[in-house]
Amino acid sequence: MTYKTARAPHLRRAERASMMCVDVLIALVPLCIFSSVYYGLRPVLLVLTGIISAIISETLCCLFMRRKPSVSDGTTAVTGALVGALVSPLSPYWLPAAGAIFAIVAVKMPMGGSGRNLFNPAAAGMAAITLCFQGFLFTYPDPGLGIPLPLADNALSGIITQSSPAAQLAEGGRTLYDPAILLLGDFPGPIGATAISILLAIAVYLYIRRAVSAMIILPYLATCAVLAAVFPRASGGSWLSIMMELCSGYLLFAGVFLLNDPVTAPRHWLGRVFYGILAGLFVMLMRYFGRFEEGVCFAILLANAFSTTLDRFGWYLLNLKRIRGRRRVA
Amino acid sequence: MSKFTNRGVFLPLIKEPAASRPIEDITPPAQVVVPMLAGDGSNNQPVIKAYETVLHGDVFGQPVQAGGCPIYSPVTGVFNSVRNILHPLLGTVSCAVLDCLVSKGENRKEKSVEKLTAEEILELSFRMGIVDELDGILLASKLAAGRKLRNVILVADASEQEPYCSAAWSVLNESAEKVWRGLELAARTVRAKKYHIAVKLEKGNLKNLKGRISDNGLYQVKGKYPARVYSKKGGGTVCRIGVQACLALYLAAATDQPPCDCIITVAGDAVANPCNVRVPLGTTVEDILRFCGLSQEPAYIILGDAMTGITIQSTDIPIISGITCLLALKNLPRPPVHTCIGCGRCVRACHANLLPYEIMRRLDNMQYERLATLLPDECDGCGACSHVCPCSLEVTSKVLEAQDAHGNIFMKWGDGDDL
Amino acid sequence: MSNMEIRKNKRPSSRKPAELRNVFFDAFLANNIVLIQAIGITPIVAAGVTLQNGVALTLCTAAVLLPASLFLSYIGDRLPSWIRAPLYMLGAIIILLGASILIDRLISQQLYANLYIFLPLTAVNSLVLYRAGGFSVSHEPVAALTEAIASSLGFGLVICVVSALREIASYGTLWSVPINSAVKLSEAALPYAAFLLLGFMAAFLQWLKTVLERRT
Repeated sequence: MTYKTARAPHLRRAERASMMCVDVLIALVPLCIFSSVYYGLRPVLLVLTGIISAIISETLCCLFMRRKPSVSDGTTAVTGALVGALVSPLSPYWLPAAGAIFAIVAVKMPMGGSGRNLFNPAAAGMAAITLCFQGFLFTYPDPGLGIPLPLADNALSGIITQSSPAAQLAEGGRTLYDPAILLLGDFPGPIGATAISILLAIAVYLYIRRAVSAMIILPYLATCAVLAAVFPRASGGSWLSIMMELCSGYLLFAGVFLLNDPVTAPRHWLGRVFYGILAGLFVMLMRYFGRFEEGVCFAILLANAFSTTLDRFGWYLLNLKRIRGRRRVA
Repeated sequence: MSKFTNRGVFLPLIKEPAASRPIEDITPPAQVVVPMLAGDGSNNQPVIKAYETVLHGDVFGQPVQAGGCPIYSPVTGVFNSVRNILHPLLGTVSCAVLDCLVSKGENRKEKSVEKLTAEEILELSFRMGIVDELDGILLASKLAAGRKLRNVILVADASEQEPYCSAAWSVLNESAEKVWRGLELAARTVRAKKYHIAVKLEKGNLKNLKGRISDNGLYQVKGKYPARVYSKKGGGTVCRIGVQACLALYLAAATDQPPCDCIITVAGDAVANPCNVRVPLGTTVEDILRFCGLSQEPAYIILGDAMTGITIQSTDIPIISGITCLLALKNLPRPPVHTCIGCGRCVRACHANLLPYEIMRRLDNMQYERLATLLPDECDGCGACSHVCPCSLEVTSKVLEAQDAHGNIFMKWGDGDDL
Repeated sequence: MSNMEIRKNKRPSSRKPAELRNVFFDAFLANNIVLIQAIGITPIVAAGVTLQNGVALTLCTAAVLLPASLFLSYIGDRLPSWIRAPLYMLGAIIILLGASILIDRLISQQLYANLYIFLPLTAVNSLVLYRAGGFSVSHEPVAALTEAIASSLGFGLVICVVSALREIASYGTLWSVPINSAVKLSEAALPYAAFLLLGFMAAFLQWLKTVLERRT
């Protein structure tokens, strides 16, 4: 009888591609719990809105493009969840939905679906809603409210809002936040981006699960810290400036979740280092000279444009001798 | 090299229960199929006519063109017919079918090998047609190449870093002294100052083996697959040969007998009795599997070990010297196939510091002129990149395909862009 | 191709209606200037914000492209190739001078201000340089004229659709007539929206082409 054919190697690791996405979704759960402690059930519903609208738009796009629905690999849900986790808890439900739909329909599917997108869809979705609806996006509720936010959209008026650290930095001058409060997360900000200590713990968890790369996060944070120390926007010394910059807005969230998107980030370690540095540079430039109080998403899109080149460039630098030697022989 | 920085993968080792069992001799097969292709690639013709008997170890085939290696009969048997077989490793080759009468030869007395010179050993290994089981290359050509190098480190590679194979360990277990003497002979031929047997064993086995050979004769291989089998200190070029080849060299020198059998690990979840078997060269896969017994109908039969083996479709393939492992697998679990998500695990796994995913991408997009810069020729096909890929892509075979594309004149291989 | 070769190889049969129709539809749809050949995107992205702007830019492009095509088709093969572009630009500047005076004095000062720098930029629009210099020189005047009209119409179609959509989305008006639309995205007037729209329109056109090719 004939036996089947297979190609070497015949022993493979059991890890699947969707495991990384499942890890990211698990990592988002503590952040949602933290936010719901302050603001009630609304933040969780916003994240779920993002996920559901991303899944629905991807299914419709796949049907339209007549390809197999690829929702099961988890990348769609992650995109929707990230967009949902980056909006303010006070935003209407159509805001994360609009961001997620833009991310899938305009950035992910036209480029070829999962695994082939050039730009991070979640960052692009955030860029779209930052441009169009910055009013809705950047009004944050006061964390000292004590009562949960109303779940319906039309009951939102009358909630006391507070300016986030990012807005205060953008205006300049003395800042009202003390580093301890920043680490504990007791300040207004996007749903997933305020719990700084939890974010750091999540970063360690994802690093152990091999879903993020230290070669991206550490150079990124280091570049942001150096730029924040050398060109402080907050008055009160460079340490305070570093703490404020790194904990305000969604810089840290982007460093853990958005920058480490495996499809758009480089794969070689030196390329990843360059990518982190470049992304940090762009983020701080966007903060200093940009129009919005938080321009991280634009910086990530800019860095994504360079990621393939940086990847090959990093490898090329390390293997210059081998390549030149080969050229001489050939 | 620390565990974090050296590249490669940790492979699960599935050598039990075959490794702890002694070598079993296969029941004599009814027929053996001897390829008429000698170790150096020369075509041979049988020297006897049909239905004549040939004794174990006698010259069976002479090379068509002068200067080639002869072929020896692995069994005592009757020459039946000639058949053409498509062998996965040799290609289409004409093979002589022998009806086997007695599969073992008589034991001859071993004589001293101290007085043999390097040239005599080289000529002996060529005349006996000894083939290295690691890669199927003639041992004599490897030794001749080693003679031309300076500062050679000669390694008998028994490290067996792939999951299933334990043939070299069983050979060492049974006859370590003879292997060591064979290695000394080979070292005399290449004028090597440093030579050792590379092993990857647990402490107990290692100690046991050290007691039988000199202390410096063993080198414990450390690190991820595929690890280095020699120490980088002191420099030198490495020349790797197999332990069965060393044993065959010693026996050829001491008893004037050509290698007639080889030791193969038979393993896999479809095999009822996994063990190391000594089979005469030319035994078909079918006979071996029947000897070891199949507990369930296998879906895949693999010639070679799990990381670098090739699947075969039919079982009437004869065993030649380059094969050390035979797997019969029912389940081959793999993650579901997906487009490359760019996780970068293949880059971390590659011990040759290549970018496997980029080679695969450029090959798929038919950008052949940009393949040269990525150095696909440095790949040795270890399979680590495909092993770790969570999208279950055929990365290794794509890189090897890119290697083949290098010689293909129909693909414009040139100096594309620099990056 | 040297001038002699051009003169010899001018296709004599390009006066037949069938062939002219091919030329027309090729330049209008199949190889649409903006969506397939990706020439002349700048005015659309930057100034195609209201329908009036769009129509004005189309008319200016046509006003520049048609005479240039005719001129190059008749005389272009007698001129050395290096002089074609500067000569054509000189002519375009003169035409656009007249056009801007027309728009500013006689039509609407507001429109002239809205068009900003993109009215004079039509003089150096790659669209005209590429098509006029490429197609018109090697074809009969009738074919060149058809192609010029088709290119302008193709450009005009795209810019009008894009500007109409952007006007409705960002200002809520169409040709300055207010429309009550539910969605008001003031940022649609930014270039990124135009790029996205152009991308989707190009994809739609490609899809249309594959469908039509499959039918025939």
